[in-house]
Amino acid sequence: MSAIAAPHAGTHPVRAWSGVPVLLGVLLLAFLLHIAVGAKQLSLGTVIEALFNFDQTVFDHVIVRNLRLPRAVLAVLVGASLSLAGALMQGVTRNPLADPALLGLTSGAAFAVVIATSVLGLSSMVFIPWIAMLGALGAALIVYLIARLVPGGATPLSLTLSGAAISAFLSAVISVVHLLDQDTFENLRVWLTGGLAGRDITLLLYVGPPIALALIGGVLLAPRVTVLAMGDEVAQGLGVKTGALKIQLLAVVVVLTACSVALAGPLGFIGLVIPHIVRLYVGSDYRWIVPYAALAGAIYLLGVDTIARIAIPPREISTGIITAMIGAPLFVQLVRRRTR
Amino acid sequence: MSRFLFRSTLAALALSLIAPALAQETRSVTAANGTFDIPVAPQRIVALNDQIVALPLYELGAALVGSAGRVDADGKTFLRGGMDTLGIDYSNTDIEYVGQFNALDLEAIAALQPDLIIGGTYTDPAVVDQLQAIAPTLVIDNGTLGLIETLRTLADVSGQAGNFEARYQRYLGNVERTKSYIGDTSAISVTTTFMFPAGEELWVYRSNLGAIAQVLSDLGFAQPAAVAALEDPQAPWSAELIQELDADFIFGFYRQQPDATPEAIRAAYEKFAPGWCQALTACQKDQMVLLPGPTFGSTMAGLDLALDLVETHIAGRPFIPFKEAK
Amino acid sequence: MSAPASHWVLRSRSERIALRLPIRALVALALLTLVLLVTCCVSLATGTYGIGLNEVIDTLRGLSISRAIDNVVWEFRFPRTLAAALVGAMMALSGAALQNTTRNGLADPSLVGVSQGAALAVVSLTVVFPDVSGALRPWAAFAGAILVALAIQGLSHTRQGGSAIRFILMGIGLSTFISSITSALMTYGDIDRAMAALSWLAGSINAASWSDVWTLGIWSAVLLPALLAISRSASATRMGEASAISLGVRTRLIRNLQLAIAVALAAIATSVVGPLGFVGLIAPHAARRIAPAGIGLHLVITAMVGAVLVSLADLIGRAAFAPIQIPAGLLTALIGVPLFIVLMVRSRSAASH
Repeated sequence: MSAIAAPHAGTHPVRAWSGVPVLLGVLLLAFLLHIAVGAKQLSLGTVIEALFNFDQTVFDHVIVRNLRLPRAVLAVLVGASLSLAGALMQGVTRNPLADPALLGLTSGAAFAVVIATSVLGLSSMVFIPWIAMLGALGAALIVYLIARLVPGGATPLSLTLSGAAISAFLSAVISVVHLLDQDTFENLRVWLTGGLAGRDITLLLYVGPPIALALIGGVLLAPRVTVLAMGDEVAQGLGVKTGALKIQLLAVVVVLTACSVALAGPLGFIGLVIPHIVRLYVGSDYRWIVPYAALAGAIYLLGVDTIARIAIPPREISTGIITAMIGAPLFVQLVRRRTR
Repeated sequence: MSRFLFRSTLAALALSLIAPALAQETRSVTAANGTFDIPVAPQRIVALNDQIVALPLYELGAALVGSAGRVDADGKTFLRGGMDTLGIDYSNTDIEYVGQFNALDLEAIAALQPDLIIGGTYTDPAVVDQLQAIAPTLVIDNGTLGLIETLRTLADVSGQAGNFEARYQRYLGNVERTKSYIGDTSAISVTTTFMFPAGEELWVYRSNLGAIAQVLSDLGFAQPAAVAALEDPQAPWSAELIQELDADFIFGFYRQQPDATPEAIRAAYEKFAPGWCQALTACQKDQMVLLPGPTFGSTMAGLDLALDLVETHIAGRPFIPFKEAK
Repeated sequence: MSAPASHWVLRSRSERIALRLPIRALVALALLTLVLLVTCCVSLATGTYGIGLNEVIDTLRGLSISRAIDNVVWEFRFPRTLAAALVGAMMALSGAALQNTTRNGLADPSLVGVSQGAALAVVSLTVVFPDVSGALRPWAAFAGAILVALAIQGLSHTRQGGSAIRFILMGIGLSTFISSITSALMTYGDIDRAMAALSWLAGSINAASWSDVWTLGIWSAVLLPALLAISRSASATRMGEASAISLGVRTRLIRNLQLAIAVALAAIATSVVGPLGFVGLIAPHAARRIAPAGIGLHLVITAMVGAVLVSLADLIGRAAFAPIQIPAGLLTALIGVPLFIVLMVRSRSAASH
């Protein structure tokens, strides 16, 4: 499969290091902006007071502390998770078009949650992340297996096609479930559009620890992904146990995707677009791509969610629709640049 | 399809010769989708929506033979709001199930041999065109007409106009009675909200929330500025702006279903906007009322019930008025 | 195009034209026609309104049993059955033409965004301009579909020429983009209008009327011969860009014409019944597997396979969970995806084009 251009040159460590404080600074700014603006205009003084001198009887403080702050945290976690998961997937499959949504993981997780709540009647949120993980894992394995079985192996084309096919299949099943049981389904309608509004923050208790572990794990595994991206033979030649590494990476990707879906519903294209933008700056070294992608993904989702909240008050736009509207044209641009 | 036209004309001719008794007196009515000749006294009506069309028709005593409905988790069909409002369902009436309002079963409708079919703007226009072959199919734009005019139109086309006017006059009389108990209603502000059971969205209604919204507007209550300024009849509301909904009274609706109990709805508000009750003076002062939705569908019974409720909750009691900040 | 022994060869007197008729393909075509006829008969006799097949036949012969039966048979079942078959044939041919032009065996109008373009156009028409006449639907659908096709074509074409992979990937990206706009319209548009568009979006044949059948029929009558006519030149194109140029065929023009026909077929079918996925993808492959044949006959068999597929999907959808109706579009996806995967896995060169 020679249709995908080879990665470019390596990264200069000084340049790479210099970007980290900048990104951290931008992340902080985006985070503060997310907290400072919203459907209701609050003075900066109120915002600061809410953060450092919280009075729960003042609703303006509650808005900052209990509505905006958790949602910003959510945006950071979900943005970082999806983007990091995308970066790892792109490395491990050597496929610049890999993304949790494109390769069916997101719809797998969504499908599992829909079936569990609608058909099996499970509604306890303790189970939701685990069910989502099972779904994402199942979908990932099926998509990869199909792509492997295709003559020519798991190429970007075969992976994207089998991902699209599995997603189409799962969404058809979801639609049938919907038709057979409209009332229960109404409850999942908002969740299925994907977004950060009205999410269950207490879910963070269950989902936070695995996400944190997986994010750290992803960053730690990143240096070996660079080797893996050069090809299995090269990696094995350099003493990397490719099989074990791939399983570890799959676990990280599945946990990140499933927890993101459990938190925010299906959000597309973040994992695809962000790593590529990052690559423009840091080149092809996954040691840098992975942490950069996590930071940039968090910034991106914070920005998108800020727009979603303030564009047309008193309403809010679904974050999922905006990520798709921004992400899909970038994807097209990527296909243009990357394949010939 | 001239051959077909010829055949159906022939069939129609044959029918009219065999059974002249079936021929009904017709008159011309205009609906949202055009002007049609309908029977003066329809004998077999099919409703393409349960809550909006079937319930009011049944209540007015119209000859209803079929209606669209819903399917519950066990695959059982039911008329939404039917049991709550009028105590009717497919199981205890002669009304037949003809599909869901957005997935209608044309053959089930044809099998009922209706002489009048009534739908709305929610009905697929292609389906409406198809149904015209069976019986005149009227699209009644309930969104534009509003609840009372919708009821009046339904009564008119089903030949129950007199019945409706009698009940409507009685309702108007009751409205005046309630008004006299409450006093100057225009000085009292009221908000109607709808909460989703998992707290994911809160909708606010300027109008169009069935009987309760109608009753509130007939009584002449005021609305908070932000609600009155809404362009659409309803909108999903940002949690940050929940204080803009504060009013003398808030009627918070929810859909009655197994997982949406009053407790669950209170929890949903808390999840949607933590500290909501502290933030809303109406809630603090116990001037916020949670009510299940379907009970107040667009029927005369719903209007009477809603009026009673509003009277019980607002009339003849002391309450702390809410002053909207300017 | 194997099995050289199994051909009848018909020659004109001057031997200027020779027609080789592969026996297996002809037998397959006959069998498919039979299957289609049987499916249509079952379809005519199946429905909520219980009518026996002989009563249906009597009604079709013009004997009126009752007005209700007349209505059910003439106004619902007959146009619905015909529409299902026609739509299936059109989507199948669209897929075949698309696969030929892109030289990619995995192209499908619903996979590359052509159907979604048509869907977006129709949904905007229903939700944003509800007062516009329904007669404009096919044209709007065509405009939406052709815009998407042009966008993909333009975007995937570089100085080095077009690329099959770019075309498909570009299509997947665009279709996601368009779907997100459609869902935004459905979420934020007038809720009643959105409801009315919902069943159409799921790909439902249940409201097909005679005027729909006419629309489908007339367009098929125009587009099918056009597709067959350029199929010869097209099959030259299939040999690969270089050899086609040496044959002196104006590759570009043919490719564009074929693309236009593919888009038109998908758009017209979509405008009537909504997006039906995977039919266009599977039918050409299934046809090839059932019986290898020359390009013309292959197209005819492909159309037949598509017709059978959608007729079956519509039949199952209305009978399996009765009284709940499952739209044919969902069933074609449920049947189509596994077949698609089998095709991918068994294709000799899914990725090497």
